[in-house]
Amino acid sequence: MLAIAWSTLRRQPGMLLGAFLMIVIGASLTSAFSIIRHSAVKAEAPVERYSAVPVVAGGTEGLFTSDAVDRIRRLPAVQEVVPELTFTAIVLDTQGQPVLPIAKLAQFGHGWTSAKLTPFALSAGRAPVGDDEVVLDRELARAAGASPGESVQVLAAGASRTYRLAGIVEPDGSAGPLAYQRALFFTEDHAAELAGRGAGRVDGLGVFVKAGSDPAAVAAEIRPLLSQAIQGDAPGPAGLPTLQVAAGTDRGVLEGSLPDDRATGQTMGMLTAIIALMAITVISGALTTSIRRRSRQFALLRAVGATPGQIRQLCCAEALLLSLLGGIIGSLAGLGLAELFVAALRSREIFNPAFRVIYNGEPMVLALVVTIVASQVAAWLTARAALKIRPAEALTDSSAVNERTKGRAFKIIAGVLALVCAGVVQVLGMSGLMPPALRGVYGVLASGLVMIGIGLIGSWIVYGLTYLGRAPVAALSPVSGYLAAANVRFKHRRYAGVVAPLAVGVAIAGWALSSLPLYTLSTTEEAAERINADYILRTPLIRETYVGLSEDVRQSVANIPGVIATAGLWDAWAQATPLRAGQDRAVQDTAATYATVVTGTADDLLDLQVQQGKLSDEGAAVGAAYARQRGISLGDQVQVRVSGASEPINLPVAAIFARDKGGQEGLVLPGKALAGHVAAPAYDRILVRGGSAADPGLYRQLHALAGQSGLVRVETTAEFRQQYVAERSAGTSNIGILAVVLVGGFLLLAAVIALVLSAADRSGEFHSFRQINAAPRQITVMVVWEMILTVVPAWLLGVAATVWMALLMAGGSLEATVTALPAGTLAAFGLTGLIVAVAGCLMASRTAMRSVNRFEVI
Amino acid sequence: MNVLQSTVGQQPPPAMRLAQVCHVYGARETAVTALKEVTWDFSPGTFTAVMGPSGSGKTTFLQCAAGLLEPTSGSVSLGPHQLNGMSEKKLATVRRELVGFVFQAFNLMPALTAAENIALPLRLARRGADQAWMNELAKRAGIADRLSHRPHELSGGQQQRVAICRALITKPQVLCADEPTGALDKAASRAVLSLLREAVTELGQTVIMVTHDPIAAASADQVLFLVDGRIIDVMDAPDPERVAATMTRLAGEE
Repeated sequence: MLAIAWSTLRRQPGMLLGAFLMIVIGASLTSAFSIIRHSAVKAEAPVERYSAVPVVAGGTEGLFTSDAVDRIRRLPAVQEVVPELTFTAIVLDTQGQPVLPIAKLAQFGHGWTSAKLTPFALSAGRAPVGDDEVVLDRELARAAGASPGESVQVLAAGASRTYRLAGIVEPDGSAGPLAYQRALFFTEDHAAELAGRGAGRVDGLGVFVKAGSDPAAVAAEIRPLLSQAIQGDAPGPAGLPTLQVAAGTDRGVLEGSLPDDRATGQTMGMLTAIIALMAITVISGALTTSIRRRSRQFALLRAVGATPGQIRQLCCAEALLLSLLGGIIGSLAGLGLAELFVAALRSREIFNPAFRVIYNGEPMVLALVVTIVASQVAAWLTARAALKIRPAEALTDSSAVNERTKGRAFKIIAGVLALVCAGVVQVLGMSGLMPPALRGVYGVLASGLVMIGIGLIGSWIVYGLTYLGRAPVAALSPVSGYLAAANVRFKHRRYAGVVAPLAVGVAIAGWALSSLPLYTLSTTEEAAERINADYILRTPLIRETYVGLSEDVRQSVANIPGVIATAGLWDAWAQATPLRAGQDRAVQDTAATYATVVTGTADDLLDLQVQQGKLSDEGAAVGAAYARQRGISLGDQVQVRVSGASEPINLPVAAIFARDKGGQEGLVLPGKALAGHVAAPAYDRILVRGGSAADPGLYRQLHALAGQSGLVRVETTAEFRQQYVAERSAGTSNIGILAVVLVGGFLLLAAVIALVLSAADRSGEFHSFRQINAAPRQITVMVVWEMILTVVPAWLLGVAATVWMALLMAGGSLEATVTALPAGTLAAFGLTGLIVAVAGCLMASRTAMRSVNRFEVI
Repeated sequence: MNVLQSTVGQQPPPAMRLAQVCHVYGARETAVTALKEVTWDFSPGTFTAVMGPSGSGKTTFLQCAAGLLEPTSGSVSLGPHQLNGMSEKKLATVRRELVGFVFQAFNLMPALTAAENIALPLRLARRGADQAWMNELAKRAGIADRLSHRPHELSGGQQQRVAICRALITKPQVLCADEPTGALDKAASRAVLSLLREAVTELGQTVIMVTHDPIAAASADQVLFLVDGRIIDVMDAPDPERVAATMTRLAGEE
């Protein structure tokens, strides 16, 4: 059987070309995305700043208390512990502008003693001794144009100060300047003051081990000790752990100089899953088509004595040859594709500049396996279906082959069910009712179900739409249109292979393109809705994080005449558990929510739609949905855990509020009550209430305080909403768009190949038309009409699915759906699909018409 | 019917026997009965032509005989094998070993050469190619020099002769041919018919051929006339004029 399959492959490559192309393309995309995902997961940030220290502990800001530092110091294998502070500090020029582009390169302030972690050594001047002295690395000093003794302007935590440049440092040895970060050093005390972690807390520990000790062993020893110091920690649902202790190459990620690509790795994982799913769909579609159109050939083989098992073997052997060959070529091509894609993503700053494609066989083998398994399953199932047709039926008259309609009801029910399930999954996911394990993947789940649903019932929907369109089309074009409508309806299964990828492609593109703005819209709208302030001070989003504003800034704002109230806000993962009588420890689990920690006048500046109680500095405010999930009611004592907290904090529930995004942002905590238990990071934003809302004097003074650097912004609530949406969408949409272009192109190609294959099949049919004196032009027009009748309903189906998914994501808001709908892209998809399909089909049917009399085509 | 039956020699066991065979296409209101209780024995080493107007059930008759189509009722036996109720797998094996089939449309595998097409049934049966037998068949068919060509490089007559060689390569008990000359011109038809004749007289094959053409039918030992799914006449030692006359009469009776 393998030999027959091989000779078909070798001598009639045209028969299998479509399937082969789809396998190559499917395998290469799966392999490329899988390689990128693998590279992102395995990405190691370069070790620069911590080159000299074998073991480093780090995590959320200000995680380590002086107590914890002492505990590590006492370990026998530890030679020395160097506390480390890392905070963004930006050198400004005389106009108040950053001297180096801040978006590309991190600028971190540290305490002077931690210079030895690199190690940095003075090349000019001396160490800083006073609060007004700073040491810069050579590149920063050069960019600032300052020599020791001169003054430089530095912005940290939202405030700009003038320093005297005490000295200039360079990494010791031949290492040269650090590639991904610039360093500023202050005196120990001043660094602590600027970082504002409070109570002697530090961000990291550099641990030098005694000679002969194994760094990895020491790291393993340190880890549990440090974990004990964060008893009140609430882990986030995904991403970075609160605490990390690293030795060797793992140290790089703790430097924080590059945005962590592991989150991108997760996104890529999701995309890989979607692409693999589509590759499977498309490959099976192409193989199904290739087998189906040769049902006559298989019937013939059976007539000369092939058993059904042999036919199945033949189909599977053919699929194996194709998928092996195509899979290997595709997997290898995936490497090049991955490099191209990573280069594109790097240039768009989606991946950090240090990101490299990691060559590894695993993702390529994965792509190959996916390809082979998908084609084997498809071949086996199609062969089974082809065998249901008796050889005599297939041989006597191929047009009389009766497609069985037994599975029809089942398929329609399953398809509708899949679509309904997709809706349910999406709604559950959006409302936060999804089990935690599935929370990260509900998008994939829902889109997968939509694809399956469309795949199952797409051809029937097109059948229905064609039924409706028959009369108008026949009226428009009495001969060709009439015939085309009849053809599409009769042979609608032939077009199923086109309908499904086309509709799913449109739906996928629409989903990705509309869900991102809808997601950012919903998160930012929520963020804006909860704010009820006259002005908002904040820092822009730089390399995925906020530089932050210090408590000093909030005090300065509060001191401006005309300011009635201020509030500083930061966010953290947290968890609240009710404490019942006779139970001093709450049960610990993993259900985390996002908490906003407020320092200042929360009551006036936040609009949380409080349902019961009142926001207060003494107690926690709990979102209504979160309270329901956790069984919390007003007046309860709750045990609160916050990311990085030294111990759990017991608080009374002071208020229950409505705006908690279905429990996803379910806590508002008073900063005062958290003080001492957790480090106080810089505020993400400061809310300001003025005496009279439109006081131009106040606005001017706030601007004066913010300075000219553009690194501190003053916005009204409306401006904030607008800017914030723009910033968030700019940060998130690129990867989606790139992926969508690829995926869309993939599906478009699939659709066209399927269409061209179906047209190439029809020489016999065209011959009959010619015999009844149909002009070639009439046949051509008929083919064009067929394409219109196939592509337009499929496109409509995809658009309908998009609108539906968008409507679900927008929570039923028609206005938001309409604004988020990527009308241009959807139209472009439809138009391109139509043009390419018509062109491809005209070419194929020309060839088919020409080949009619040349030789027998089975 | 019994009278007709008795005209066939009773001494050797029949190569193929159809007993009370009915076949109905479709179901309920769209049902069409193509064969009505057909009973016939085919003696070994004979050449039988099956004729009849369009829709008389000739092709259904042949396909039931060849095991390509399962009769709605009645039984078909090939030598000692009873085809009814056989699994598709078993049926395929029996077809492969005992039946050769030749189609109007040749139905060669386009990807395989003539030689490979001829050897295909052996390959399917996982038997080695019988080179001597293949050469002999090819020589008799006059295609010995065309064996390495693929079907589209052969003329229609050559393709059909390759198809006949393919049907004979397994030395089947019965060779069934469905309008083998239907798509061929006069000269090619003559070559194909003489090859079938040779298979009967020199190789001792049993051949059943469905045809429209009185000249083709005349090369057989006997002709069965089918009308409305029943055998209504049999002609031994046919010649073209008598066959044509009978056909005309049958067409008139309709």
